[in-house]
Amino acid sequence: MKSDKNIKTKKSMIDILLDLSPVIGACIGILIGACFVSLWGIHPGTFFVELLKGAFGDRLAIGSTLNSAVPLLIAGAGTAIAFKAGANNIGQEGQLFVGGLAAATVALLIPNLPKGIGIPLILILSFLFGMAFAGIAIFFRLFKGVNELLITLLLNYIGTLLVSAMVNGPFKSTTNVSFPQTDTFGGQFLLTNWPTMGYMHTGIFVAVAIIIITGYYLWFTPAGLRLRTAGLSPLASETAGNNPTKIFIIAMFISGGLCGIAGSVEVIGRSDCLRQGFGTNIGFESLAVALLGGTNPFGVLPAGLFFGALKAGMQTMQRSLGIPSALLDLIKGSIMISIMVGNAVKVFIKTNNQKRQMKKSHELAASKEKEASCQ
Amino acid sequence: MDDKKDIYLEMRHITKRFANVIANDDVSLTVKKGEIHALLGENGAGKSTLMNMLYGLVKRDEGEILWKGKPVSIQSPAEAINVGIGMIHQHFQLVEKFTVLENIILGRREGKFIELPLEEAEKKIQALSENYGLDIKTKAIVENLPVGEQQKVEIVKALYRESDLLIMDEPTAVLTPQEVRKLFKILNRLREEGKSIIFISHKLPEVLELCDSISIMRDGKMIRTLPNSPDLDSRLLASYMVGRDINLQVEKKTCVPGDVVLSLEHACAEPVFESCGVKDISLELRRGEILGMAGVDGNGQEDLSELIMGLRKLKSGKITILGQDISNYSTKQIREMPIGYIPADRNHAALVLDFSLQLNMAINHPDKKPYGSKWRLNHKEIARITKEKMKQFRVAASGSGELAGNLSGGNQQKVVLAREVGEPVDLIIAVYPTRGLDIDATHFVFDTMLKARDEGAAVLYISTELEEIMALSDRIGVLNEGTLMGIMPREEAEVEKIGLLMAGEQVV
Repeated sequence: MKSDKNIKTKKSMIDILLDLSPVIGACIGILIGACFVSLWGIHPGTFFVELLKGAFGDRLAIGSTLNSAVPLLIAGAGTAIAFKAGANNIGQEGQLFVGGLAAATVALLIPNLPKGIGIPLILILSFLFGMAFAGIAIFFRLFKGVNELLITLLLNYIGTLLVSAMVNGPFKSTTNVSFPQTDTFGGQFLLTNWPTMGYMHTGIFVAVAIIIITGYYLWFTPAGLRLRTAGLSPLASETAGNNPTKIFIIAMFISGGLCGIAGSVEVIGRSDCLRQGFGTNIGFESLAVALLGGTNPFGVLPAGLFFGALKAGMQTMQRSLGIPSALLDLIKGSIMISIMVGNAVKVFIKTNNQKRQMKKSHELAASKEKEASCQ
Repeated sequence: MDDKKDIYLEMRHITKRFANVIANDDVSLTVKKGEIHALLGENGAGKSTLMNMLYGLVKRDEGEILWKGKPVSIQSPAEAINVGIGMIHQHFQLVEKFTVLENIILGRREGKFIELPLEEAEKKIQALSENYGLDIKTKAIVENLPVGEQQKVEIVKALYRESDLLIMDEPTAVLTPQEVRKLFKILNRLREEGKSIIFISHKLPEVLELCDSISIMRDGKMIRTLPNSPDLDSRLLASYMVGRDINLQVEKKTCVPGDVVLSLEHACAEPVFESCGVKDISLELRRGEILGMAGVDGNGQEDLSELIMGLRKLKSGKITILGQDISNYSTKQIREMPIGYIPADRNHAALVLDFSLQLNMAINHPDKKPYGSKWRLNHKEIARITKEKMKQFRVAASGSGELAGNLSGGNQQKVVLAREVGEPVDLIIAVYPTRGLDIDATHFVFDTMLKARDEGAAVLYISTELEEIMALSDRIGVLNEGTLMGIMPREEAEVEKIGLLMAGEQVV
């Protein structure tokens, strides 16, 4: 008994370090970024200062950070739900784009709606559009046995191109022809924002509400427990009387729907029309956010804010230091890869530990058996 | 001893330990030239381990192997093939898209680098084919051939490699009766030509018909080797095979059967993957009794339990629990009834190893009181109940928040028991509940089962351990290939009789 306890406390220390490994990865990524900028003749110190200034320096910076975080938080929470259920949804990008399309659909086809109805309708329709996109992957998985990973990945292209096609075709602007975009939406379809706060919009409240609801759902409801059971062990889920397939479908739908909402909130929060490529990379970033947050909505909150700050800080730097945007993408990419590597290391060490633990307990049981048979 | 040179293979005092089990304990085996030597034993008796060591797939810990009188050290299948030992696995090692000829010459390093000696090989195969009466079509694609023909390809492959000893792992398991007859003809022919065969099986009549000598293994030990003779019969072999000393003692009150809790009427289920399904099983189980279900592993035990729990579709027949026809019930509906289910796969079906103990306690009915309501999981209450039950079932763990995966097998099983039979239940379905447990935990499982029985539960106790079945049961049933071979009261159960039924022999 005593030795068991010792092992336990020692293990928990390592466990904490392991759980932090994606964060450690993020830090290493930022260091790599600093190395890159020094190649461009910028002092790494300046890089850090400007990064922090751009993210938290003043009210404008904070507003910009929060705005950048909004779609990442919403889509990140959705992704977390899918991953917790063992559904491999990596179609955030496509689902997010069709969510944006839903916003344009409502605003352009029924322009006379009052504000109290228009925005909720946009949110609902974008949820449905995202669901429909996820539904395609569900269909192929259930009826054709194709892994949802593949279908959702490919649907990303269809989603982004669908928006392109629409803003170059049926939804093409009649007044602005210089950029592929729609006509300006009526003001009643747009989220309130505060110019003095860096145009921070009410989407952040939507995001926080979604984080709280999804977090509560996963950790504090029976349905959430069933979903996590199915994700960790479909066999146990079935044995306990649940239907893992049904849970997979529900999780995919919720996940796709939330990514759709992320898209529509991005459109009606940050602009006044639907533009081609409005959310490029946000979907992929939200995937990274979900992983950094440990596929847990409550972890997605800090992870999303971290990524939002990173994005806002870099945008400012682009202006203040004259860093080319390609270099910024490079830095963002190295941070993302570092996080993934951190995550992979965590998973690797954990499974190794588990194996060792299993072996130990087996040996213990064997030696006990021997003792017992000797007596 | 002038027949010394007629001895092909001698395995002397072979011992092999895996992590915590002795798979082979001082096993010796001698195979003469031109004999078919049966290796008989239940699953897990150590037959496969012994053969894998001979074929170089597994390293032995102790003992030596003599081949034609000389000690050899066989480290890999390639070396085994080189000295003249061939093995035909139960699952054939053939490339399905290749022709028979290509499969046979595959892995031979002869001929030039870029040119396959196809014609030469063809001639050699034809010669072999005629010599042994194999009649083989070299041009056919393997996947188009029936199983019996594929097996012939495996035999030719071994002969082509000039093997003098063929190890055949349950060769008849996959064949139809007609194909079995053909195979026996071929094997007899091989014997006439001076080849030796080790014939692994647990089918007694086949062994008695075909083999010259019979070696019987049980629990990793070589029980005995006998020459085949007309006075040998299945009954005697079966008793050697399963006849362990029944010394497991359990204190038991007399059984007072009450009304029927579970009844199956001609229940059938389709096989899935490699299981054998359930074939027309009828039985009745009453309150206050334990029905022990014996059988060699993989003879429909899991199929039967999953069928009762609604995890499998009932193909035909009827299942009734507590007077309700549950034939079309889902697992969820069956879980609503007072039933405790201890599945065979503790690590994947019974528990979620990455969940804490308290979540594992709640996964069956998270939305029911006291665990929670429709929209709320009562974590506090779940923790309290878990701690209480952990005390009651003597689970050794640091707390209710400990991950199930960190517990030893015995403690894991106690958690499962606490969840499934912690509240009074009317029916318990337990599948291999003591598998991998130490003696203490095993006895804990026994006590729990007996206590539930005395409190009026009906218990279906499925196990491969005959000793346990004999100790616990009030009645004993035997499964073979998904069929219920018979049910008898404990008093009438003899080890030999059960052994025969386990081997699929009808006993009058």
